[in-house]
Amino acid sequence: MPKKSSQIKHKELPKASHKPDAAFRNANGAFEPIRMEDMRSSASVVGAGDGLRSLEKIAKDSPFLNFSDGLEEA
Amino acid sequence: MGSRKHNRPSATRDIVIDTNIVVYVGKNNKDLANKVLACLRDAVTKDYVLTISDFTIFELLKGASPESEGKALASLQGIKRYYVTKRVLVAAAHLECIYQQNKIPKESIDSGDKIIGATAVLTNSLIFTANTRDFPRPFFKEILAIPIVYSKDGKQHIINTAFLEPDINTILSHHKMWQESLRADDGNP
Repeated sequence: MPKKSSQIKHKELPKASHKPDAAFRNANGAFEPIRMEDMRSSASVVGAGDGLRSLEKIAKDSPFLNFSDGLEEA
Repeated sequence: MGSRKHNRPSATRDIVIDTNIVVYVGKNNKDLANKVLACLRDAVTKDYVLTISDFTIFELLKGASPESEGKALASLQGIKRYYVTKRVLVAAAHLECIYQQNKIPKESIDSGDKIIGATAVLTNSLIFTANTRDFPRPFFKEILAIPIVYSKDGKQHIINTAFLEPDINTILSHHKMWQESLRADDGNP
C-alpha cells in the first residue's frame, strides 16, 4: 500500500551526515550514550564500496533462487 | 593568514540492510534485483556504508541449498557485518520489553528483527527494509519510502521498501518508563 505523503519525510535519501551518539544501557541499569568507537570492534572491517560489490555479486549469482515467499518476509 | 586545510574524513553513516532486502537482491528476478540495487547504489553515493547484522547470515542460510550456501557466504565476505554481541542481545531484549509495554505483541516481530533493530540503535544506523512493521513506530521513523514496482511472470508486483532511522530519544524515554514500572512493581522507590 502506498504511504501517505504525510508519513514521508524526504523525497530522496539525505546525504549521510554526522550523527549523535547511539544509546546503550550501562551497568547501573540506565541507558546512556555510547561512542561509535565502542561499537567498531563489534564489526568486520571492509573497504568502502565493498558492501555494494558484494550485493551486486549476490544479484549476479542469485543464490536465493529457491527461497520461499515465507522466507522473503524475514 | 593562509587558509588551513583539514583532512577530516567525510561524514558517513551505516545502513543495516534487512534480510528481506538481501533475499530480493539474490532471487532470480533481475528487474527486482536491479531496482533494489539502484536504491543502495544511491545510498552509497551519499556516503552511507552498507552493512548487515550477522543474524542475517543465519536467516539466509536456513533457507539455502548447499550450493546456494557456498555462493552466499562467498558473496557476503565483502560486506561489513555487525556481530551479534552480548551488548546487541541485551539491547534487543530491552526493545522487546519496550514494545510489550506499548502493546506491540512480542510474537508479531521476530527475534531476528529485534536483533537487527538493536544493532541499528546501538550504532545509530539507518535500516533498509521491505517490512516496516518489523521496526515499529514511534521507535523507528521512516525517512524515505520507496515503492518498487517490478515484473514477474508477466505481471506487475510491488514491494514497499523504506529507509528507517531509530528514534534514540523516544527509545530512551520509553526505556526509562519501562524501568520505572519495574521498580514500582518491586515496591522499590
